[in-house]
Amino acid sequence: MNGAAPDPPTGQESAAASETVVGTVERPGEAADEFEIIVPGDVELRTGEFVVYETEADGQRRDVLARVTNAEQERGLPGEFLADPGVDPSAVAGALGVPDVDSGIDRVTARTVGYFDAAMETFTNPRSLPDPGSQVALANDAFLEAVLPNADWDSDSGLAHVGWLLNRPAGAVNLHLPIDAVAATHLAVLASTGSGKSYTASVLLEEMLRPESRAAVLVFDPHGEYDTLPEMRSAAVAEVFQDGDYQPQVNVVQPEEISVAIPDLTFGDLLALLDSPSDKMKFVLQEAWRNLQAESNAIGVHELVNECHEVDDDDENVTASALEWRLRRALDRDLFVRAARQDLTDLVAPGQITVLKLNRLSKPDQQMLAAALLRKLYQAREQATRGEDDRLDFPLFTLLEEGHRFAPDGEARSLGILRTILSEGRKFGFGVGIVSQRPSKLDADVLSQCGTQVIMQIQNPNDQQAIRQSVESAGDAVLDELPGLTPGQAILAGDAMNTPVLARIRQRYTPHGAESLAATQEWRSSWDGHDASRNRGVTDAYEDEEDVDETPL
Amino acid sequence: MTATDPHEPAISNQDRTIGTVVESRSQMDYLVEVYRERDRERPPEKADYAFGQPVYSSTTVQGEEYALIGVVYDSRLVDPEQGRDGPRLSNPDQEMFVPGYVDEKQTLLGVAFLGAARLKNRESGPGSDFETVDQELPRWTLDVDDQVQKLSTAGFRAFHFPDGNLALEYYDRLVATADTFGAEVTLAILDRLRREADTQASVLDVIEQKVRWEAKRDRGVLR
Repeated sequence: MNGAAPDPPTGQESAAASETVVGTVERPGEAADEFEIIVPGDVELRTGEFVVYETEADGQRRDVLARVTNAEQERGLPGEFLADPGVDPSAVAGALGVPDVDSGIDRVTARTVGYFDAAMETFTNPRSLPDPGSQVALANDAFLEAVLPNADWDSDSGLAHVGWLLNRPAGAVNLHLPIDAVAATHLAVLASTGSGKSYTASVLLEEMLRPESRAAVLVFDPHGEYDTLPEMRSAAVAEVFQDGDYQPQVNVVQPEEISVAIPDLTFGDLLALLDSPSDKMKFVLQEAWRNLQAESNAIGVHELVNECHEVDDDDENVTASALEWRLRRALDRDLFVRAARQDLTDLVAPGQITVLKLNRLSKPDQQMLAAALLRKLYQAREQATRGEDDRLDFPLFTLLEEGHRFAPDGEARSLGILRTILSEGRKFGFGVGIVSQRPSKLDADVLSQCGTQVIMQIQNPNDQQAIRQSVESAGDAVLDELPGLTPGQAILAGDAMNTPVLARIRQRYTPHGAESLAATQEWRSSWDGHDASRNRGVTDAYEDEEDVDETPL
Repeated sequence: MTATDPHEPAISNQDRTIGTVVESRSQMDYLVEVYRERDRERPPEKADYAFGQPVYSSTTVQGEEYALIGVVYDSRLVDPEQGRDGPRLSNPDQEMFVPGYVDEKQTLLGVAFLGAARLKNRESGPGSDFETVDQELPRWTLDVDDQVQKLSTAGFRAFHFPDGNLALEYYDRLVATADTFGAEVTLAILDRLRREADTQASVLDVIEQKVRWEAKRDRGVLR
């Protein structure tokens, strides 16, 4: 548990270059915006580190930020000094009078990011490389903190402190994501299993629920990974989450409490629920559905079945009977309820996070539920924005864990509405966060619409390829880092950042709920709990003589 | 003080004198003529000036006593009579009639001077120790007729372990000077180090591998 969040920077006036000069520019690199620096062997410049050089642009001296993309040894001890792993190569070097290991030099490649243009509030490429022989300094901590995120520090809009710049000591360069940008342009958290994607998403949710933001958030949680969020209300973290009367509301909805109102479905949803209906059935159902919807917003399976019988003009009612069987099979379950959902504020409200635990629903049911709810919320937001309805007169953010379930590269009931929200939601204040470990299984349109990306370790080449194709801001320099990231390290990129950065995600305030099952421990305790008679080892099938058929063959 | 055997001085007047400087071919490359039987009371034996033998020559610079430390890296036998079709005065079994030609036969040694040590006389007992050891190119020249002595085991050790760690900083200069047998003379030194200084054997192995590989590569055995 860490203390209160650090204060965000107050302005962008800090000097760009620190006092630490790390190297000297040797020559331009292969690409137009690359250059090579010679760095003494005892200075460590890792990839992703930010350095500053001075150049002239528009008649002014400018401090230009550049990102280290590669480091290789320019001069070092020869391999023959390393012939015996038991011998310290510096002992050999010392014996032969070769200058010590520290006298090696490295060649570091850096890529220009740009100088920070205070008027534009972003980086401008000076289109001029540093002169050979000019000095390169480490970028100043305070400068990086202020200019890396695409944030307006003067406004009072909410900021999410997600962690620190990797390569610098923890806490040296705090990274604050502007929540407005994240919510408006949508978010993708992409990472392979175990690298901390739901942890990172939880960090973001915590930040959104802090008093400075008081967001209205809905989480679709297929694995029950977010049910520790109520800890935000505990006294231990009151300093972070409470302010006057405000305290975040956390509403974890258990699987058995979740229902889908039949009137909230569309005809397409209904068809998807039915087993291969014939054309006649479709016709009858459509008529019945249209009639019922016109009449009331409480539609149960009985009403639907009765209406089908009414509509079916066949004497024998064969079609309606067949439909009845299919409808009852599909809808006559606890998941579907008669009455349409009127009040949406139990689901979403400012300063409230609702976690829908979907872990006992089948995948099609999860998709159906998401489709119905998202459609309903989206319509409410549309109406609120047009001034027709004020039920949801505040923006929304919804997070979809296992996003590839809801927006797969294929068919799903929820895909259409998600595409709509992702492309149009910005206008209506409806932000979406997609969390997924399989970017290649995500719908490409959905992925490309997520303007802010938090990308963590990804080994799978297909997934890397999907990110390469869909995520505009992810340059090769960033993507090359993906396989080497360790859990808790992430690339922050996209609309919320002025340039992609490598980050270390901060510790959560609330405990993490998505640990892997401790299998051996569970087996042991499970074994202890079993009836002793079942734990005898080998069971003798013929022990009970009555069961044995002794009839001669 | 450098690491020296407390019982034996690095150099002493007991050290066998091998010969005298007759010529230098460069700042560190000298030609030494070996004393013959009648030159000295205790003339050097063949084993005293073998290939790879560490040697030294003392010299005084601005009042300070120094020893230039070197190694025998080559040898040449010279017989002025060879090829000369002069008169024979007698048969070989009548030696007393033969004039002094015999004494003009010479054994010349190539000695590479590797570094210098400042000497400090022992307060008790004879001999001197190395106060400081420098394996850079010697700054001073020797003179013709300067004597060259055999370096003792203690002196050899003191020169190569100036601060307790093995130092062969002259290695590249030695290889360049000794040219043909650069690798062999280095190996001879390594071998002597292994025998006479039992520490850091694994470092010696790594260096030996390097020397052998380089030699085989330079001579076309390996590519």
